Amino acid sequence: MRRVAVVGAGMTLFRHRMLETGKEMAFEASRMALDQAGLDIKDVDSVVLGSAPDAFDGVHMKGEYLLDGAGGTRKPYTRVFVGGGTGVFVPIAAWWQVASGVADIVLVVGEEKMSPLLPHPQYAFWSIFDPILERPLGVTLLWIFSLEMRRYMHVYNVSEEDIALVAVKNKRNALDHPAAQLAANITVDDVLKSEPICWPVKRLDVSPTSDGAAAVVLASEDVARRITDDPVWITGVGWNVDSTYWTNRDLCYPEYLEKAANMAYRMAHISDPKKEIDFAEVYDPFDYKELHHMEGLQLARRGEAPKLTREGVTQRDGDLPINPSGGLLGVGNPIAAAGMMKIAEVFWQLRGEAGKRQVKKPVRRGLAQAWGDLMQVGTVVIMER
Amino acid sequence: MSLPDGLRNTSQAKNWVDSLPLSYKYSAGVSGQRFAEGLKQGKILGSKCSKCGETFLPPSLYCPNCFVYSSEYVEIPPYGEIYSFAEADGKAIALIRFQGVTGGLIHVVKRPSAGKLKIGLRVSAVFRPAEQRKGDLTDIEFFEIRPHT
Ligand SMILES: [Zn+2]
Repeated sequence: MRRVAVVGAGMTLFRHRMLETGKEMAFEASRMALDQAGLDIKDVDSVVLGSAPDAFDGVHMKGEYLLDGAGGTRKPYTRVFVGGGTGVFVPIAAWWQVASGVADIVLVVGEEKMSPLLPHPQYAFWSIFDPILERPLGVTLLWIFSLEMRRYMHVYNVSEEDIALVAVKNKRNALDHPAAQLAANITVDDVLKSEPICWPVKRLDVSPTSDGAAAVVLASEDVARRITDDPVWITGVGWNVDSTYWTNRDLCYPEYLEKAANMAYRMAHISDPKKEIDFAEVYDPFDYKELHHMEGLQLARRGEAPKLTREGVTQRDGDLPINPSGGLLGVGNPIAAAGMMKIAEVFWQLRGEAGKRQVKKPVRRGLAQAWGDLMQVGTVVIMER
Repeated sequence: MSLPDGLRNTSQAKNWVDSLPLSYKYSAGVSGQRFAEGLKQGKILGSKCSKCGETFLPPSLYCPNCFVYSSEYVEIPPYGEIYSFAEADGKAIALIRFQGVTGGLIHVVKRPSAGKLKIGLRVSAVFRPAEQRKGDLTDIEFFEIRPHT
């Protein structure tokens, strides 16, 4: 297996509605990533695109629609899809190609344009429910999150205040992100008093819907050494899927994520992730999910993530910074692009290029994670200097 | 070969009827916005790549070959040629290509009062009166055959 490096990253603004079409956003992020790598499209052997449900953009067979914006025309090109987990899965699918020797340089693109769908992107999720067992109940996606959040609060006796601290931290971190959509200085009280959507889930517990794209370039060791003095290596990848049906999953502990993380840790020779991972970009479409995911990643013991958050451990200047970018809660959540934003953030942090977002302690190893499919997949990438 | 013993009379199959009403508001895009503004002014705009010099219609923010930003938008004379066409229900739609331009437009062609539509016929765009234009493709009412071609 060959070593695989990340050699460039780029992203667009994340906004509720962008003038740019999906293709145009894919191009802008890709061009920026290629420019950072000092490469041209003719140098690219293969392109991997990630994008979530077609129903958002409102163009069926979106992979084909986005092709030329992602630079894939007349190249080996694939679209991969594992729902919300897609953003961290695209670089994994690209990694296969470089690690196996199929390609030396792969352009990796995540795109999402959620704004077209009316009256709200949320409506795309109507069609995911079982037409016989679930749809007659008139439930929406948020009901599932409410079940999870309440179960998590119940089992570990976690307060709404503790969970709100995540939203406060991430939205504040996002103040330093030039692409951020919902950066803000808010208080725990603001979160608690925000409009209940499906209790305990409230407006400020939730990330926004967004338009955006992000891209990275992966290269083989030979190429990476030639074009940069500062490659960042992908040293571990993992993914795992749990049962599709809500009734058959542990709503309190993401077992699928533990399995995905362990797959990546084994590959990266990590035995004590809490000590050996310097910082992490964990998937935070909801504030409680950051806590959930920290535990599944074994960056905290079960039920311990709220305590670490309360003690400031997960702040940018803490011992284990979590979501220094500002996360989905602050930067925005254009699904596949949001996961790719996390990959880009780990890359920029490891290169010391995160500017005002740079975490305080020196960092050598970071992790990016996403979650998706029907709330059942974990995708993990570990990167090192 | 034995097939699984399923329900033989499918008219008895229980089913649920539901609908998923979705509607969309699509962004024009950076180049799409310029194209729409052009149409409103009675112009067909393409984009030009500074690297390879190719001109694209409809215009694009980027050159799909060189993968660089397009350098400029250029006005394309509204005279094209029928590359191929389809006729049904009393209507004809053609792919119209323009000299020196990559791509083209799919649009309605008005049938000639005498003779037939043919590949290679030269056509020109007929714009609606300025006050009726909305900044979309229907600002061109149709393409008509140019006389003496
Ligand atoms: Zn060009």
